[in-house]
Amino acid sequence: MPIYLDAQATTPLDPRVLDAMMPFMTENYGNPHSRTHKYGWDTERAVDTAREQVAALIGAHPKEIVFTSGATEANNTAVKGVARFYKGKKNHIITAQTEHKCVLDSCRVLQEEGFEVTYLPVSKGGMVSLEDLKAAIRPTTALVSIMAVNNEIGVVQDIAEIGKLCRARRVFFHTDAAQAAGKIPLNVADMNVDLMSISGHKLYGPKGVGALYVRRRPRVRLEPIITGGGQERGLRSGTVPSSLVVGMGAAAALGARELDYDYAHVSRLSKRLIDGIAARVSHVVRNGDPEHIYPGCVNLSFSFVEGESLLMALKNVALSSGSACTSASLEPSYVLRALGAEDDMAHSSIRFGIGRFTTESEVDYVIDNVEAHVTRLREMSPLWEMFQEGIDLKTIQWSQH
Amino acid sequence: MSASVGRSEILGLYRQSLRAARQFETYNFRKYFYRRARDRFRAIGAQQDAAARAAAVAEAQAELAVVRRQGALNRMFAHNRTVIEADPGYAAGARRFAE
Repeated sequence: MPIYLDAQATTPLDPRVLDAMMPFMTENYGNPHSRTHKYGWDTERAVDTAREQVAALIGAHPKEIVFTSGATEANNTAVKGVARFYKGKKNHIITAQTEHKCVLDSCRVLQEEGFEVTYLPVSKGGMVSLEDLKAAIRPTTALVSIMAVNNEIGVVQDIAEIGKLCRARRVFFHTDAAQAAGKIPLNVADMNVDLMSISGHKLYGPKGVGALYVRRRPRVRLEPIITGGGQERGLRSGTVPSSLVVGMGAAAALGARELDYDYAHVSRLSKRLIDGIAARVSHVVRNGDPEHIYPGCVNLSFSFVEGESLLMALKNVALSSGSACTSASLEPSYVLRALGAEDDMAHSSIRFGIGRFTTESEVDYVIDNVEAHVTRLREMSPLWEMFQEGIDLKTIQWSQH
Repeated sequence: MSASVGRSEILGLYRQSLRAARQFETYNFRKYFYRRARDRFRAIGAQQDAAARAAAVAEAQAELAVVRRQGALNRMFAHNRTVIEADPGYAAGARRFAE
């Protein structure tokens, strides 16, 4: 198997999480909503514990946690739900150009329903400017949705400042914290966050489960997407998948306990990777503002090398050029485009995702391989040859065919 | 040192934790739990506060039980070796670029 260096796409299920889940996949199969027998009571208690664990990770009250099928559903519920509930008075939503596809697509759907959406631009480093946000807020703004940590470049937005601004202007603030929960400290009270999406499988938990934090005071109301039995305060009907939820709770508890330890480990390996590549390969650019970045996401652009060819060459390393959702297309990443990256740099980017289980030897192996393949690919590139001869590639008039 | 957790008891627990970590067939889990045990017991050794030390030892004990179970489970299902294990230089951590 190749070395796994794609921690932003998904993370391995921690064996300690699996250990917590096992009883609920074998003997304790009760429906957590069954109130008439012990099978149901036992499972319900486990779900309640998981709810407390997830709440504790982000400084929330357990009653404010709604379990969903993942961060995509949480984002959809938050964005569409708030917009549709306040449709009578408000018709404007603000988000950023570098958001995840599920937030952008939810906004697109709302646009078709008659809402107005502002897509905030970002700086060259990927940061949303508070001035832009301040200027974009209108009296009719229902929701601001800005992600905490970007999935492609790892840029960490100033959530506390954005939250403060939104609270002052009485606008609900949603943040997609799928890449942030369990990786960086989060507190919904200190950060004035009204809604927060979390994914199970990005914090070493199982796939197929996520959570949405919905503030109770001041109360945020939303129109559910899925209706039915009225589970999860009526915001997300359907039987709660107890084994997955228990896994997510265990992963959240573990994430809270191991946060500092993991962060130190990831930072150390991240520095080793960046320094190692920088020392041995020239003309490499790290995408994203280095002052505001989660170290576990290293997005590098290798000049004069096509990202996809490098991915193919590095067959012993599991990497991606951007998000997994768009990894099948050859289009350059829209996130890097929003950063104002030139087409050639956006085409030559690769994302290295470092996590809890990445080892130092793996990083060294990757550095060795990157050096070998970048050198080889550049040697066969005519552009690299021209660059070496001192020709400015931007001055070339490419003939049309 | 507190009366409830003696030095030899801690050392025994440390050795058992390292042995349990080695039971994982999956390279990344094996390495992680080994590293985690090493760092955890270093922290316990440096811990002066008796209550905090007792809590850390209790945590280590609980984790040992989990790692033992999951190590056994992991051996039943793991079958793919990573490329790094096929290259002994890297697997042993011997092949490093300049420190």
